[in-house]
Amino acid sequence: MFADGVSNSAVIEALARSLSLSLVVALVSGATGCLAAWLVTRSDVGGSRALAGLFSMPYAIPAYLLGMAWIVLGNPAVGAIRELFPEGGIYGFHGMVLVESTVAFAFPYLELKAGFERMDPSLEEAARTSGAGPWRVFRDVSFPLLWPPLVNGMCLSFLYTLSSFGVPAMLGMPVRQFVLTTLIYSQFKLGGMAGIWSGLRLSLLLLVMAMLVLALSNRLVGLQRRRGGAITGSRVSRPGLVRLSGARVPVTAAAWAVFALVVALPWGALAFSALAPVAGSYSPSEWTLRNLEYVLNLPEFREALVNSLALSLPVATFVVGSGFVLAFAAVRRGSRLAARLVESMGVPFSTPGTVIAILLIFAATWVSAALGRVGLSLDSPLVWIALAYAVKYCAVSARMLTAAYRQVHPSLEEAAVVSGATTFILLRTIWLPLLSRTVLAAWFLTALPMFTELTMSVLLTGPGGATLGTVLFQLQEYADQPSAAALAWILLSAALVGAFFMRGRRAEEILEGR
Amino acid sequence: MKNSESRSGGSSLNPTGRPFSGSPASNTLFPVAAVLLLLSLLFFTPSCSGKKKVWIYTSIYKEVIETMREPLSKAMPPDVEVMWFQSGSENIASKVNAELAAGASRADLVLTSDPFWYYELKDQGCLLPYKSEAARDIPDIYVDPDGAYAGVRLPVMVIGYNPRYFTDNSGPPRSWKDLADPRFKRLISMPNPLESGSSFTAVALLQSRFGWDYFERLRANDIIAAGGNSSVITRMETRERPVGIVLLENVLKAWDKGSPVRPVYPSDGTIPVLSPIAILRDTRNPELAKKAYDWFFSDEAQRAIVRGSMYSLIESAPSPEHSLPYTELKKSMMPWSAGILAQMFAERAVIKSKFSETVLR
Repeated sequence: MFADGVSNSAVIEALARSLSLSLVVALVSGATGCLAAWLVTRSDVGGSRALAGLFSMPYAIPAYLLGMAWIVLGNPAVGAIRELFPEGGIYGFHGMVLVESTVAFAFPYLELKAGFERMDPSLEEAARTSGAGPWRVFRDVSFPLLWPPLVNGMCLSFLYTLSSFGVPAMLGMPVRQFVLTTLIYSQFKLGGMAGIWSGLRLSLLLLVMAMLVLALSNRLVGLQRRRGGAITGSRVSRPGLVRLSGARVPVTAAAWAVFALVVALPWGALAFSALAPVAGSYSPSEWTLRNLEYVLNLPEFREALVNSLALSLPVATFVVGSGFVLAFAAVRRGSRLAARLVESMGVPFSTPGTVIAILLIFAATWVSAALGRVGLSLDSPLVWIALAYAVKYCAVSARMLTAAYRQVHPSLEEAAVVSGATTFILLRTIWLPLLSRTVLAAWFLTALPMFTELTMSVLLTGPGGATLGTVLFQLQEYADQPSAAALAWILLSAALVGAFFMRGRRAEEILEGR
Repeated sequence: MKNSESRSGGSSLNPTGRPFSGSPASNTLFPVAAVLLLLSLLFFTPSCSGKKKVWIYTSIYKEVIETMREPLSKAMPPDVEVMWFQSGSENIASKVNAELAAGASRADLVLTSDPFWYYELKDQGCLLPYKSEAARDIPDIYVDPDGAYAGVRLPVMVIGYNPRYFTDNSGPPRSWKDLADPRFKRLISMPNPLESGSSFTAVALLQSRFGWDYFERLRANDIIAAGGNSSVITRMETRERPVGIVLLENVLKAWDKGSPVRPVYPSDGTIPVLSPIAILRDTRNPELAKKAYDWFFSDEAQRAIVRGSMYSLIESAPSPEHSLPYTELKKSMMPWSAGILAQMFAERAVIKSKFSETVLR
């Protein structure tokens, strides 16, 4: 009924697994994201500024390389921490939850971090001086205000997991646990023409699920809407930090342990793999720099680096910029059309990359035929890759910014309008500085996955269109695992260094016009 | 403190927006402008082209393409530019299928290793028949009788293993039959035949030889069927699964790079995976496409293929380094014919779903 060559019960089983996996990941990342955001913004946990940047790092690793790193760690035969897992190692539902959560965690975490920073800390201080404990303050003051970004972050985590392919393919398929995306993928891969259609049919099923979740989250956020925001956003003072006192040492240790688990361990695993002469030979006496040299000397590496930068930076800026304006129109001007557009962006976000790429190949063929008739040609694959990135990732910024607009009280805007400010001035002088933290978080969450995107790029690329993702694919498929790990390790290390320098928050100050 | 105090008037109104909303025009202006900007991305680098182009979509390794790029350009007229698109066989099939479904593919030539896809393309009339004189040395069983495609190289599926695992006397498996022995429980992996054409060919030939009973025993041995050939190599190297059903060229390439993995040529027959070349019917330059097609059967091209660890189908050509000589290999190869291809193609859906039920459950 659903697809050729796959029984209905297999489809239903995959559907059930997709939904339960996404739900568990959304809950885990919602809870941990909330806790982590609170710790780094509101408590005196040790090294909070460093932690704040480092927590979002796993998001910088392409999911399938993160999967690769975890397989090195939890490999049932030679994995360094295989004892921590059941007999089958990292493979299975628990492994998928663990690895997906370390990535999807970034959505609620960054949203809530921006939310806490935007929130006037005097509200919480008032509650605290009135004798409320940290939990009570969180429950009665912070949580009612941060509810929209939390729901939205969890919703993004859910949709991210629902449409993710790399991790379920690496950790689920070897133990025969299929989810919808891996099922769609195998339809596409070996189904011929009939496979394309049944793959598209299956992704409709995925779409329906995504729409249901989007509708539900809009319902939930609608509840908050009636209350209006209570945040003026003027960061008057540095918030008085909650003293963890006796718990400070264990909490700090736990926070850094989580960091070690989600960032340092995969980083180390990739480093080990990159230094190994062949996969599985991890002893230090055999270490070699050959793989790193090989990657750095690859002629495509430079081309790919330039292309990936040239694609991700402007496309992310464009996507966040239009999301900023769209969300303004949707929330502040009550434009139905804009609200619908923001809502409908959830559709490509939860559609597997393979499906989007196939649809764009249809489009590309039509467009180039039409251009051909007027004597033009559009040979650059980068155009289509850029479009694919924009379509796939536009939801993140638009949704984050919509939630942020809702959270802020409009009194400043009203004052400006009364003083005769035009819309442009309004956006530039009031909203951009007010929402700078969310704009930055959104930009980060949009640009990073574009930088290393693989699934769509591999199908859409062509001569002159190498991206870091396609080079990773090449190395993984045609060279060997250590070379792929070497490239991944270089990228992750670069991301870590970047995060380290981002602590200064220069960009934010520029956005705020200081 | 509660925020509900800031509630203004009727609960159905958006309390924060209405009073200061701009003119009706600006309500729609923003989203429209945003969408237009998005669409404008489409056209940001349209370019006029001067040279004639021949597009080749192929799954041949990038290193091999690099050695072919120059000689092929030289073999073509000077005003022709050869454009290569390299990816996995199945990615190329997806791309070409989508392009064909939308009208026409940009590819002039396709060289991948999934014989069934060529069979399907021919069936749908998408290939240009061309009985090339250059392919005369290719054995008939690897050439389409109507000239729609011809084998240009021969990858084979073998058993690979990691000798570091088999240090005692037990030794690695010697035949496909051995893999079903409980001795190899939890030791074997293979590429997923739902994803990889070469793996599908192996499953189709093995089930016609040994029946589904064989795969039930592989399932009882807890075989992993996931990913592509490269992931099987990685699983062997890390000893997660020290035995694998895998393409010989992947084993030879790993060997070359110092990997311990070695091939076993199963005594009950290595599995040939026909890898054809074909011209798409809608090619803009049939003559140029034919010229390039012919070049792939030249000594130069075939030598590049052998250097890339694949067998040439021309018997006088050398065999890849470290490999069993082709004349030896031929003796123990599973039978292949156009008839077998047609039958396997007809049963393709059944084989796939039967495999899913038997092994992937």
